[in-house]
Amino acid sequence: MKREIQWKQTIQKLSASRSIWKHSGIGWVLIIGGCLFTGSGCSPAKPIPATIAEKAESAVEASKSEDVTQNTLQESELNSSLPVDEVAELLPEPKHQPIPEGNWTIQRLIALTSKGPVVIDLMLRVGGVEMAAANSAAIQPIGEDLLKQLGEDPKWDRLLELPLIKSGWLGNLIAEGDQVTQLVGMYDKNKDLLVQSDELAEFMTRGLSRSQPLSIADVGNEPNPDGKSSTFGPLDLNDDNVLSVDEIKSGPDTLAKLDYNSDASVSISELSATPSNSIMADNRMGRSMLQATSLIFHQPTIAADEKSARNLLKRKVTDLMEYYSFLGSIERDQWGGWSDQQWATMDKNNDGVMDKSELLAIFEVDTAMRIAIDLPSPYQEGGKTDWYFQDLDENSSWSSENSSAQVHNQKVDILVSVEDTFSGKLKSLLKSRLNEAYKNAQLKQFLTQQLQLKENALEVVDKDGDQAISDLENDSAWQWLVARQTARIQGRWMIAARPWFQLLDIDRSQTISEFEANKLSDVMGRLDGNKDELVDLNELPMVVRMQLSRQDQRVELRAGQFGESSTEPVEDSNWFSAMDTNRDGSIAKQEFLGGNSDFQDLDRDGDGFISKEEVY
Amino acid sequence: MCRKLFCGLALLACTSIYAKQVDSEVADPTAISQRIDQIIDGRLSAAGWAASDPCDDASFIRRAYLDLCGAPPRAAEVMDFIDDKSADKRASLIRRLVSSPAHAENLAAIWSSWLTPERADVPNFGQGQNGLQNWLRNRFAENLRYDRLVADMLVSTGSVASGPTSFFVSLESKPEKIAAQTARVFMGVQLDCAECHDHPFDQWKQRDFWGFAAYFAQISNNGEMAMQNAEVIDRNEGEVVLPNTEETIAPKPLVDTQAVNTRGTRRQQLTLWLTTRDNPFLARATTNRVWAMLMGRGLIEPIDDMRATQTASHPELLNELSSYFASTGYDLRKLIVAIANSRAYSRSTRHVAGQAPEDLYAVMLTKPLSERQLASSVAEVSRQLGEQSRTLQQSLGQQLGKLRGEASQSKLGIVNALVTLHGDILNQATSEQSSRLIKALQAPHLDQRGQIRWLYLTTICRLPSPAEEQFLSSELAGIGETSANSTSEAAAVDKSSDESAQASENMEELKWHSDLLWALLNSSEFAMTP
Repeated sequence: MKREIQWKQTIQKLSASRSIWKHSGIGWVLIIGGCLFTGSGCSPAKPIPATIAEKAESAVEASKSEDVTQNTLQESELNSSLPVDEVAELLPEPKHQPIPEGNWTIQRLIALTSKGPVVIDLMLRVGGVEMAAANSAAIQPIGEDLLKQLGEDPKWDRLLELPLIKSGWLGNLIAEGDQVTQLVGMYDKNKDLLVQSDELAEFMTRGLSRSQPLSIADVGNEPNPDGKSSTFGPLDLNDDNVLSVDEIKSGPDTLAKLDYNSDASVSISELSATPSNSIMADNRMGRSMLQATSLIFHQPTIAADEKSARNLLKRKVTDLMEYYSFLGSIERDQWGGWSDQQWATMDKNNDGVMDKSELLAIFEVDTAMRIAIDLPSPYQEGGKTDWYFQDLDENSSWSSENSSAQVHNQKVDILVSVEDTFSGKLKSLLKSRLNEAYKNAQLKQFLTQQLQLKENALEVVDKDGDQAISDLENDSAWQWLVARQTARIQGRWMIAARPWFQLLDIDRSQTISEFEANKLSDVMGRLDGNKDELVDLNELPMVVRMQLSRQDQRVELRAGQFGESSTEPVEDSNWFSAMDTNRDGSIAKQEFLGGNSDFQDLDRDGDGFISKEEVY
Repeated sequence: MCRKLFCGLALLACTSIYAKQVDSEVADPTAISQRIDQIIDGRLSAAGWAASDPCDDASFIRRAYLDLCGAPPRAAEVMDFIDDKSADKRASLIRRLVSSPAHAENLAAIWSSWLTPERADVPNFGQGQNGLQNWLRNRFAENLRYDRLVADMLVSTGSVASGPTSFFVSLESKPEKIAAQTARVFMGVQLDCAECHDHPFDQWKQRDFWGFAAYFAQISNNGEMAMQNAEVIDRNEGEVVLPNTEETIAPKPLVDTQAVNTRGTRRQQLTLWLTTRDNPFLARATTNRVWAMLMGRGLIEPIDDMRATQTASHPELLNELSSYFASTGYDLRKLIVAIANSRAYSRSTRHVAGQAPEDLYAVMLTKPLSERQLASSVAEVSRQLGEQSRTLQQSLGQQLGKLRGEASQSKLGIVNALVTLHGDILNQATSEQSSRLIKALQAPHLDQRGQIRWLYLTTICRLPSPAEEQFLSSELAGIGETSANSTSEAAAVDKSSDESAQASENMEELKWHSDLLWALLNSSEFAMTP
């Protein structure tokens, strides 16, 4: 508290604490007059607004006035602060949505945030059943059909000669020579050279385990969304990674200049629209979340037994510790965001330091929230994805639409997007693309590669040879794809990490209000551990430094090898990265070269951006 | 402190009262746009000329983007704009652009180039320029009333890092240089001649110049010449002396107004004089500059030499627009919108009856791209935005010899041509090996026609005309035939040449696209604002 007072006094000494939000005239007054606040009688006293909302409203009202003296909030008003409980009252109401009973496939995320680990269970199911059951349902009838074709002599070499297999629609792409033997050896578990139904199922899905529908790929280097190299973003005027008293003093002014829509607050999206090149910048919510804190993924349903699960956890933690080589242990004051109670749950030997073994216990932290995604059956026309959110211990705000959802709470801000490759929309897209491919050799070649098929595989679909795809033919192709890939689900998780923004955004509203901007000196003052009136990087909480040290924060969940291979552009795919002018890994409408219908065709999930996964 | 407080309050009262007084007089912006056209058309008619037709949508969006944001529109935006059937889409576009941060960035770059010299004998000169540009950008972004922006800058104190004081330090804190530049930019007056002798063609005497310069005589940069260390303050001492005499000249405004004041610092006195309502210079000079920025020519030329003997091409228009500007509380955005929404701004650059005199505004005058506009255009073609774009602009700036001032804004036609024809940047942007645009055009959803159309849209922001399209398609077909002939000969020798034949044809097409791109970039259309 003493430190805070010292900071406040220093800043007030330099200039009277002031609010310049929307006060175009105040700069003039301060320069010329130097002491408007100290001069009495410049403006009549105003009642002190009681809430943030009232303050914002009064600021807007004041800004409408031409008289700059009336625009000026009073010093007493600016020094007032809201009690914590009053702030809490303003937080959005948590929304609990009961998750339907039934079997779900669960993916667990453990996010290391500056306020401690947060465990989030991502739950998925397709067509009302868990992933494994959905996959079996997709594979079984086609497998039976193949076995029927083989008749009484179901040998592997005969299977490989079936058109559906040879063309690559089902099973692995057939290699030549010795590789055929190796391939058969992989799937012919009992080495009897005969195709068994369980062997066939694994072969048809190219070895993707039906019990592991999801795997993880942690990819990507994302740019600093602020366009500033400093950790403190626009607050750090000279970009030296240190916040001085002067910079903190001018902080509210700096933030006010970012209020492009003049609504008396700075939102995340306004930060994305930094002035330079902003006319070309994409105003995308997701862009605000490009930097994220570290994530550890744990897949409780995947491990076959307890021992495997434990080994998996150990490997994850070892990876983490190796990645952060400096992180031998974590001391209590480096996790300042934790309550003593929280810390006590982790620091088992109560020595004030968390070592590796104690860190392992992170995995036992209670689940904070559950996000359930109920995907429609791939065979259901017009199916819709349903989202459910269960908030277990936080006041979170939550919103969702068909393909994405956002969660904001005191610890994390998460954007989740899910792409269901087998939506009904894509089924009709498949038909139109197949029909186009028969007329356009270039597209045919591209589509063949995209679907990972052998040359001339598209002819297999066209059973009547009329160079056109009927609904019936398309249904077959669709079922083959579903069976081969199972439900290819991919999710993107992005956790926001603008440390300075998070520190200032007291009510976690994803905007910095005038009130919050004026709390800058208090917030930063607390961090000034050595009381030198500068906040440098070493004074940031350890976990914030951890997240800053790591740039690759986007984590994608992908279904097996198909997804992984799609993270790397294929050899002839340079057009995608060349079209992606801001190099954020997706193509916005503004970046796209092509007609609206082309864009809509490629933007399968309709989120306004074409991702690599949608193209390849 | 008392003196400062008094002066501050005086200025505050002055601007506030003024703002309230003029509120009731503010004209409807649409009416102002119509009035612009009425005056321009009247003069055209009197001269026996008719206005040219309105330009097409593609030209308009490119013009608006380049003028207002300093960068061309994205190809997709051009198509969206062309497809937009709404009646007020041009006005909507203008509204959107002037509210965009890019507009503020653009104005800051333009004003910065007006205010600071191309280069100065000041260590670390560039740092100050960036600071000033950032400071200006923030004020333009909030649309701070222009008289206040000018005042804030002219009375600014403190370190160069804060922005506005770099104006003084870049002019070496010399009263005569600051006075000349202040008069040039904010008053449209060239006093330079009067520094050494009475102005031969204007009313200004040598004493006028030094009287004006005396307002800046008490500026100090704290003895620091280096840009980053200098700190501007006002001292209580310092005078100017008439050259070759020992006569001290007292501060004196160029013309007497009611606002002549002897309280406060000298800079505050001058600022009060310059920014009050009866000052004859600020509104007129700014209006003329903004008009020139958008229309390619000032109502009085040159824009920084608005002598008493110079008559405006449309005196009535200059008077009315200046009054409007003042009446809006020096709202730069409203002034820009009023001009950009006029029919005169929407005109085609071509006239069926030949070439009308420029000062009639029968057509929209084509403007050579400024350094900034050129860099942005090349960046768009290179499909390198963000940091890459800034690097590109720096490289281009070096190639252009860092021309500053008026030259950098509009007079770079020849230099542009030389740079584009011979520069590595353009070669890299157009080569089939390195061009990201050509790579992007290889997307499978684009057929040959689509490739040509989007190449045009990305470079010159329009679709090819039917004649161009026909010509280019036949040229491209010729490439395919030539390639097919040569590969069939090869096939006779080597049966397995199908794939290499396809690769060869693809390569020929890429080269052809590269050539077309190069030609477009070197067209006068690319180098000019339509």
